[in-house]
Amino acid sequence: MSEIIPIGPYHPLQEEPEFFKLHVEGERVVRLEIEIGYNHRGIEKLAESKSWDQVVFLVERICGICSTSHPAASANAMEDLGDIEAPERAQYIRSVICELERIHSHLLWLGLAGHFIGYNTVWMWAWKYREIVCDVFEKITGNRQSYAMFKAGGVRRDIDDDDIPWILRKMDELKPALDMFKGAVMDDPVIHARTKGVGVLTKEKAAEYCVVGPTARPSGIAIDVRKDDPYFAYDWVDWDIVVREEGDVYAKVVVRILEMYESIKIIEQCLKKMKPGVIDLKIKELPPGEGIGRAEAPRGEVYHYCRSDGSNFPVRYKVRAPSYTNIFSNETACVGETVADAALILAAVDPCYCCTERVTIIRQGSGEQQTLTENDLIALSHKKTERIRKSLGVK
Amino acid sequence: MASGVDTPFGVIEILYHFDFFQLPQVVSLRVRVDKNDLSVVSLAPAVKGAEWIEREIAELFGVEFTGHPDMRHLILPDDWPKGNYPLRRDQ
Repeated sequence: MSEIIPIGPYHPLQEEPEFFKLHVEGERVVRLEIEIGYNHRGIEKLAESKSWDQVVFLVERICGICSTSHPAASANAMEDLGDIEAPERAQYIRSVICELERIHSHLLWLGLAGHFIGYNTVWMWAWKYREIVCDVFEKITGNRQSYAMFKAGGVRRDIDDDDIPWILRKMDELKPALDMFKGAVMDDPVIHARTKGVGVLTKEKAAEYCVVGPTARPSGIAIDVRKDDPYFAYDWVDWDIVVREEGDVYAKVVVRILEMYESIKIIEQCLKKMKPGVIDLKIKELPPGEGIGRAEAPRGEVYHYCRSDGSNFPVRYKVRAPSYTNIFSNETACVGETVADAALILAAVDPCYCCTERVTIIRQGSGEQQTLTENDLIALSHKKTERIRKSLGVK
Repeated sequence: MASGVDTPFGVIEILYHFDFFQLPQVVSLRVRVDKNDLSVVSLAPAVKGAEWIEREIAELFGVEFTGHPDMRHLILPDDWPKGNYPLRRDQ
């Protein structure tokens, strides 16, 4: 007989409420049902009443963490529609912004993942070093979040040449911090025990569920829009895709940590290669037609489709965010795992939400109901880490 | 990945966007469905990843996907009025 554990839908940490129904037998998860739509804001419909310039601002509000990935895909879609090529300097600036965002987003996730398994030091460290990235953002764009840098045909603000040495210095500051995280994750036996072999998403399943980004790459699928269909300046700089074969939570952590090194590499090369020039083509109107724009967000491929009838407003604007496919894959990754690991697996795809607000255990038949809070669930996860620590003799 | 588009010509267009592994292109297959007979064969039994987007198009445009394993509402609430499709232009 299976019991149902509902997780969600609301939690102060998550910007997208989601509802997971875990069917469990004892400690094992046998089935997972996912319900979304608690935060359906009708942005696609809203976009039809906004001018093309306003659409970029609108899509920037879709996500608070990866706020640049949607404007990036949107600029790509509009440039595809109008057959426009943005100036070279603008492409370099766009790449720098996107990569800075990737670092900040991965650090944010790393901190939260640390918190779930009871490593609050990692949490505090990760968020401390994330501040470096936020400072750089503030210097370049004037904002720590929602940078409003992108538009069809260019960027809104230039990077001051005098700032470049300072930004490069900040990137150098970040490297020892990343080395530390890398060491902490790769050498720690407790983290190995908690994450290795947990929540495995096999290559076949990953392909079947069409997952993208850092959920697909740890499962051995070398998919990355930046390499497959190069946009911005990604073709002009030297970097590698990080791929692992295991597909477990550990591989997901490692991929994200190593990706941050690649991001720093891209930023440094972009800043060094950048030449003075125009940054904006000042597009006045877009022709009738259709456009498709893709961009690699920190969580995977963002996909925008737009259709224009030649007026100032889109006729249809479709957005597909990466979590849309990645969250769905939890349906298979969670099965066979314990409840204590479920929170970690659900969080491992980085679905812009992190843990669970409340959990109600309903025993079928007896109708007995037991409600666990978010803290209870995290405590369950912490206890498991403690158990492993003790058994390994680690303090 | 697919997009549903309502047109003024009495048809709803469904665009299936196919991305080929490591090839720099997207191929969009355009399916035009007459509003009098909104029924398309589902892709979900063959491609698991198409399940959610078909549920979304079904509830926003009223297209019926035959053979879909799970036709519950995805983003609209369960008590959403029947026959009311938010992205249809004729309503």
